[in-house]
Amino acid sequence: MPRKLKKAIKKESILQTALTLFSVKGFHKTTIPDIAKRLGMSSGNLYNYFGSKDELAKEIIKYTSDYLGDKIRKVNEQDISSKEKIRKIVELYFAMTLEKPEMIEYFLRVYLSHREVFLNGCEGMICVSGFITEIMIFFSEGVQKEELRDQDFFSAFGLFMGYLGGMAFLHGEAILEKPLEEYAQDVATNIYTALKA
Amino acid sequence: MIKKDIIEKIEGEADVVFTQKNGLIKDVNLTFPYMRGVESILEGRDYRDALVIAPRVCGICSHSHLIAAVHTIEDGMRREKIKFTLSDKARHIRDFAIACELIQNHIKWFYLTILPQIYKVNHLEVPNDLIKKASKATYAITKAMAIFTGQWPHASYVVPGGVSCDPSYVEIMQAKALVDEVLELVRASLFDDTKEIRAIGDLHRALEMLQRADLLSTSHGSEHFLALADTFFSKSGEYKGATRFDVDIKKVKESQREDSKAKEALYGNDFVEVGPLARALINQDAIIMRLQKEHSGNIWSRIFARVYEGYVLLLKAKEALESIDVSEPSCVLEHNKKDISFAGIGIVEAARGSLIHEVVVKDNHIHTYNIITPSQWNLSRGSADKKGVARASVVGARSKEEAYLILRSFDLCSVCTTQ
Amino acid sequence: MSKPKLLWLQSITCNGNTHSFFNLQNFDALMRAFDVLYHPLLETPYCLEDIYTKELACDVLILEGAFKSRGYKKFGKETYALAKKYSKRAKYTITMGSCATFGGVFKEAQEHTIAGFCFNKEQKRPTYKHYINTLISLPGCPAHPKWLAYVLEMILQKRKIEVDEFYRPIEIFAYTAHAGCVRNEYFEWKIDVKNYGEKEGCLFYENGCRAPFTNANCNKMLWNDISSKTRVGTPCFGCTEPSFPQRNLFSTKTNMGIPANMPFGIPARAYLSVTGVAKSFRIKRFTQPLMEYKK
Repeated sequence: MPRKLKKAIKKESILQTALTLFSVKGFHKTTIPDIAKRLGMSSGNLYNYFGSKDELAKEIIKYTSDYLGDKIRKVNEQDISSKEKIRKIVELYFAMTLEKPEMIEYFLRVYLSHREVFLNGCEGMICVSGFITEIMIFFSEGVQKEELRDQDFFSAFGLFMGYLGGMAFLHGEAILEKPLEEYAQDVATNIYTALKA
Repeated sequence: MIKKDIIEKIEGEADVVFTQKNGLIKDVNLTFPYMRGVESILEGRDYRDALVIAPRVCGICSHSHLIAAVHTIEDGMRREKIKFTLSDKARHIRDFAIACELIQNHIKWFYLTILPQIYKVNHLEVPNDLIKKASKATYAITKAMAIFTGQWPHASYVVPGGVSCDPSYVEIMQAKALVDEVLELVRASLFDDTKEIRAIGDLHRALEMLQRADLLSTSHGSEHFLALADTFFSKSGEYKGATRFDVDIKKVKESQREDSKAKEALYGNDFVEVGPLARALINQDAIIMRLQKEHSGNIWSRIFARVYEGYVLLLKAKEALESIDVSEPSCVLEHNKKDISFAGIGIVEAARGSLIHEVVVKDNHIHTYNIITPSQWNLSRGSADKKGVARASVVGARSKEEAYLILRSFDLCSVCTTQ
Repeated sequence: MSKPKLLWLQSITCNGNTHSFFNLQNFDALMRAFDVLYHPLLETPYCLEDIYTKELACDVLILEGAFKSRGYKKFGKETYALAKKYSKRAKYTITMGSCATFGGVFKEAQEHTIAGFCFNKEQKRPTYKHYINTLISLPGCPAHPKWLAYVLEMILQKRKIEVDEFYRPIEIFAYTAHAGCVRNEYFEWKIDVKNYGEKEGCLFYENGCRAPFTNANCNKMLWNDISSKTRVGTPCFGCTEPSFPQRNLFSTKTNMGIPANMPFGIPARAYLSVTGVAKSFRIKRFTQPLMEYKK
C-alpha cells in the first residue's frame, strides 16, 4: 500500500475514533491520550496527524459535513423530482442518524455547543460548506424547475434541516414512540408541502 | 400617380410628397410608414426597465429619453408620497449630462445636417473638414458625459432618487478639461465671445450662404412657440405674438393620423414650434429676441438659436461641474415597499424640443406607456387652412433642395417620431 | 489601389450604432480609408434610393437594426431582401449591434417576425449558411465604436479575424464584461451594493448585473475611452448577449437566494463553495466607505 494512502486511512480512523469519543464522553472530557489509547497509538504519533485537539475538532466537522454532502450530492445528481429528492434526503439523514449517530451527536453537541473552538478557521460556513453547498444546489434547482417556491434561503434551510435535526434529537433522547425510519414518509411529505411551489 | 420622395439622414427617413405650382412648393406631406413599438415593448415590464428600454427610442437623444423616463417615475412616486430626495449633487450630474447630450446634438446637426445642405443649395462643394470638426467636438463632449453616465449612447445611470455614479473630484477635473476642449473648438469656428456674442467661422459662413441663396427673405417663421419643461437652462412657457404665457400640460393633445404612423401633437388646438428657438424666445434671451425681430423666426433664427444654445450649454455644463459637492449622497430612495403603483408624467427639453413620457404602473409593472416626441410637434400636419409648423415653413420654397434645407432646420428626428 | 467600398445599411433601428461609432476618436481618418457609398449621417455619393434601386458593388457591408422578413419596405423593396442581396456580394458583412445580430430590443415588439440578420436570438436562421463565410457579428446595444474600428482595421490589413460560435471576434468577445470592473474586490468577497450611487459593493447579487456571464470587453476597452456601466454603478444588462433584453433588468434572478445565472463556465457547486467561504469572513475594509469626506 502506498505511504500516502496508508496515511489517509490512518487519518480517517483517528477522525472516526475521536468523533465517537467526543460525542459519547463530551468534547472537554476527551483528551488526546484518550483518543491515542483507543487507537493503540502513542499521543506523540497522533500529533503527527493533528496538531491539537481543536484542530482535530475542526477536521471532524469538515469530515462529517463532507460525508453528508457527498450523500446529498448523489441525490442531486439523480434525474428525479424535488419531491422524491426530499424523500431521499430525509431517508439518508435518518439512516445516518441510525448508522452513524456519533456524527449527528457531534454536530449537535460539539459543533453547535462549543462555538469558541471553531472560531478560528471554521468561521461561518467554511467547515460545513460541503453539506450546505449541496443543500443550496438542491433548493436552487428545485426553484428553477418550478417545483419549489422561491424564498429566502435560510427560511427554507431552517425548515428542512431544523426539522431533521429535531427528529434526530428526539430519537437520540429515546422519546420517539416508533422507530425513526417509520417517520420518514410523513416528515418528507411535511417538508415538501411546506416548500413546494 | 403621386411622386413620393424620401427625406433621408434625418435620424432615419420619412416619405415626402411635395405639391408644386409654378416651380414653387405649395405644400408638403411627411409621412412615416413604420412604427417600432417601444411603448408596447415597455408594457408589462417592471417599471425600472423603462430606464433601459426608453433610451433605445433614439440613438442621438437617448439620454433625454432616459431623463424623461426617470422624471415619469419620480413624478408618480411624488404623487403617491413614496419618499425620495434628489440631492443637489445628483441634480447637477443629471444637468451636466443633459447639457452634454444637447451640445453633441447641436454640433452634429450643424456640421452634418444643416451646413452640408446649405452648401448644396448654393451649388457649392461641401468642404471635407466638416466631419472632422463634428467628430472632434462629439468625441470630447460624449467622453465628458460618460465620466458620469458610464457610456453614451444608451446609458442607464439615473435611478429614482438620484444617479448611480459617485464621482470624486478626480473625475470632475477630467470632465472639465474636456468641456474646455469643446469650448475652444466652438470659439475657434462658431462664436466670438470676447465682447458680445458674434457668429464667426462656419456659422458666419452659413449666414453668408443663406443670404446668397436668398433664403432669409423667403422662408417663413413660426408665430407660436412652446417649451413645456422647466430646466436648469430654460423656463417653460408659451410664446405667442411676442408675449410669454405659462404653460398648462392639460392642453397637450395627441391625435392619430390616417396616412402616417406618426401621431400629431397639438397645444390646445394649435400647432406650435418646439426646440432651441422656442426656448430662447420663452427665456427672453436678448440676443435671440433681437434676431427674431430682424429675421422673424426664419431658418437663420432657428440655426443661430440652436448653435447658440450649444454655446450657452457649454458654460452651463461647466457651472454644473463646479457646483458638484462630492460629499453629498448620489441617490436617496427611502421606500421599502415591495410593490408600488403610480401614474406619472415626465417632461424634458430634449435637443429638438419638449419630450413627454407618461406611465401608469400597477404593482411594479408598466400598465401603459406613452411618449410624445419633439418632432411630433413640429411635424404635425394640420389642415390646408391651418398647417403644421414645418409644413407651413416650406410653402414658397423654390426647389425641393430648398424645402429639404428648411425642413432640416427643425432637425426632424425620424427614429423618435417612429418610436 | 482602390479603397474598399463600404455600405452602411439600416433596418429597424434607433441609430444608436451609427452614433456610437461616430464617437470613435479617429472616425474621420478611418472612414477616409474606405469609399463610403452610403452612411446614415455623412454626405455620400449615393442616396438611399440608389442603394435600393441600383446594382452597386460593395466590399464591406455594415448592417444596423433588426430585420423583418416582410413589411419593412423602402422604394417598394424589402430591406431584408436588400441586405441579403448586398451580403452575397460583399467580402465582409458586419452586423453592428444586437438588433442586427440577434434581434435586440426591437424584436420585443414583434417577436415572431423580427430577428437579427443571421440569428434569431441564439438560434441560427434557416438562411444563415449563405452568409456565414463573410459574417462578423458585433452585438451590443450599442456596439462599442472600437469593435467596428478593429474589424475595419483588420480588413484593411488583410488579416484573418478569428471568431466564436456567434461569429463574434474572439479578441473582443473572449472577455467577460466583468473583467476589469473596479468593483471586482467586492465580487470576490460577496459584498453587494447597499444603495445606488456608491463606490462600494458589487451589483451582481441584488441589482441584476450580468457582467460575469456577458461576453464583451467593456471594462477593458472602456466606453467613450473613459468609463463603463459598472464603473458608474449601473449594472451590466448583458446587451451583447442573444438574450438581451431580459426582463426585470435591475434585479438579480435568484432561486432561494442563490443566483440563477453563474459566471461563465463556473459550476454552481464551485461557485457556492467559494461563496460560502468568502461570506464567512467579515473584512473590515469592505464594511467601510472607500473614502470618507469630512463634513
